[in-house]
Amino acid sequence: MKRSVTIKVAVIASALALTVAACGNGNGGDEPAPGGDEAAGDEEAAGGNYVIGVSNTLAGNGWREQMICSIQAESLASGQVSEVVVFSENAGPTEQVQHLQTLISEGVDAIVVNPSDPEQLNGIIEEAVNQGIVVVAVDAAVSTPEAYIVTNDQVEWGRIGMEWLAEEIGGSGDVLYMRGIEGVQSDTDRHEGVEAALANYPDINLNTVWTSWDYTLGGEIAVQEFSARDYDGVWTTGADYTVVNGIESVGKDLVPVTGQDSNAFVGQLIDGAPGAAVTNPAVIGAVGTNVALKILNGEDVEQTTMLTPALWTMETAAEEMEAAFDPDRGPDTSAAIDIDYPLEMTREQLYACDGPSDG
Amino acid sequence: MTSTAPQTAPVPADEVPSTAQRVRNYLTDHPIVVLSVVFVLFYAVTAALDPSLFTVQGLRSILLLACPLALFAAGQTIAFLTGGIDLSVAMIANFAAYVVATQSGAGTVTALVLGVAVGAGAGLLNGIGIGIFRVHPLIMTIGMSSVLLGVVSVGQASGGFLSGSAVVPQVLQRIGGGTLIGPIPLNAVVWAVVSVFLIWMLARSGLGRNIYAVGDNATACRLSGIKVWQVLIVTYVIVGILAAVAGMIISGTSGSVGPSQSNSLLLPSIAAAVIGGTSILGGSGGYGGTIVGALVLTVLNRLMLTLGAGQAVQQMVYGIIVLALAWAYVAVSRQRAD
Repeated sequence: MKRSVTIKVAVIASALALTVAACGNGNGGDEPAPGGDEAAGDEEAAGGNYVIGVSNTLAGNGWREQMICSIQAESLASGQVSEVVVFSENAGPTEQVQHLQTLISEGVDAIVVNPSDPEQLNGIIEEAVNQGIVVVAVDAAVSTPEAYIVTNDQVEWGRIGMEWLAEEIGGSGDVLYMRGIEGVQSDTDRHEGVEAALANYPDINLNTVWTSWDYTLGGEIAVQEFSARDYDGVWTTGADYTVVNGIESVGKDLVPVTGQDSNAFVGQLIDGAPGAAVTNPAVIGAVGTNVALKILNGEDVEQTTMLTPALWTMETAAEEMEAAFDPDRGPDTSAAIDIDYPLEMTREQLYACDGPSDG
Repeated sequence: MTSTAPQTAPVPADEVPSTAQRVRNYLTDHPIVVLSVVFVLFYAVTAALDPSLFTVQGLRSILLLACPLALFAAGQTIAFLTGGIDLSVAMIANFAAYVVATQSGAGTVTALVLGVAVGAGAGLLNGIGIGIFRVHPLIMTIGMSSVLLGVVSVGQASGGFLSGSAVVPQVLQRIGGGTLIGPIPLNAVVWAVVSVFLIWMLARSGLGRNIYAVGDNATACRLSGIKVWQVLIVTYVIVGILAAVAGMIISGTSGSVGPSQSNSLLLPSIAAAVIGGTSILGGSGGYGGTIVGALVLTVLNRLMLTLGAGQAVQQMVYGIIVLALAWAYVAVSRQRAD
């Protein structure tokens, strides 16, 4: 009895999904010229009623949450978006393909995706573009030329942090090298930058560990590692403030730590912890949204938009750091909000995290 | 089939057991002795490679790191004793830590109470499912773990009840990373209190006797008037509370919460109880062995780090040694069971 009901529901749901998908295809077929022409020809969209889809595969991470909030806030501030549809869960490329498939079937105008894989989404992205949907990959790149790419320069990010650290510890010593997730593009890129920096410092020994970009795990590893031995410095790919806490938990003196602009880490540096923050603004989501809207409005945009990271230390950037640090914000939010790219949203809108349909 | 006939076969003709046999019997009855020797051995080997373990600071680091594992393993131990298991401890811990960190704005005490309540609540649901609805503990707790993962994910999403700023209360950071005196970290105080309570509870209280009895023979318990479902509910509530406390301490050590912060301790918590001599089938074992089991695993982890093997190699070697210890224990104890 129960089972047959479930099956019925499933059948009806698939039928509906197919219908919606078919409609989507039909619309796409009516308009032979995708891109700017389509946006102009679509009365609804031209009236400021764009629908933006978002796909994210790392939930519960302060940086990623802020990225999504920045998409909401920029959409609201632009006045051109009626709804932002967000799919955000802890998942991999397989689930992300389903996210995109669903967004296509829902007939969104643009998709802002933080890709979990540089290759595996290419097929579905091309399918979306063929139907006139603008796809912007933010934070990490995808290899298909059909997608627009908006990223922070991760190679440079890795390089300037390690270069600063190498100088700071006098060009030699043991460094705890805390990477993210093996095989993820931004990790690979940062590693490339780190290797480039270390070419000039052959006397630095790295001990590589993987933190999965999980702050707590990073802190736990720091406790383990600093319990077991001494390090001259720590290069982290983001699990920064928990590493400082971890070293303190072990009861050892702090050593220079590099990380990103996590709110708590910036606070620790202001309070005198040795180290440097390299900016990796989470408002990259807003930049991606801005790019998507420009394309929908027929403007010419470079296929790749890359933001250059800045290095913050109390010696060189105390003012920026004090302006960026907000003790009332979560520890793992990205403090670098005022960036070198013109955005519509305000800091208040970002904090409020309201999208166009929440108003 | 399994009558006493085969049991008499291996016993030698002479009635008095030899010294070797007596030693073996003693060790079989007291696995904690063997395990303590293993611990000292591991500690000595590791310290030979990393002399810092002979310092106060080194000893402190082992206790600091063993504490959360030992708290999880405490829960597994009493779940094992009833013939059950709890695979939801890691997610209960993660959820509780999130609740504490996101509610810390409402006051530290409120946040801590909420965190413990989350653990007790999840444990209560586990206990009801297992005790009243007779769901197998494995299935019930995997299900609970999955539900909690979903709850945390939903809570974290923009606007969710866990999406506020997550600040770990100062007192937890103190407990998670502070020192009482010399080599004793503050979290070991929590651990000591839990240990004394559990060992007393299992050995001396009615609840403790019932826990052993339920694990030994639930049907007999039922027939003799013990309310098995009540024992199971109380057991899983205690497991849930222990998990919540462990989760809070883990957060205190790093000063942060993560959605998967405790997951890597789930299997070690089971391993610590197993190599500590608690039968996964229920009815025999105790927390004393688990304490040593948790210490052994912590030193083993440290040994891997000291050897400088990569994380992948560490995991393999760790897994193999845990398997070997578990096998050795089963091999020894089976001699007795047969």
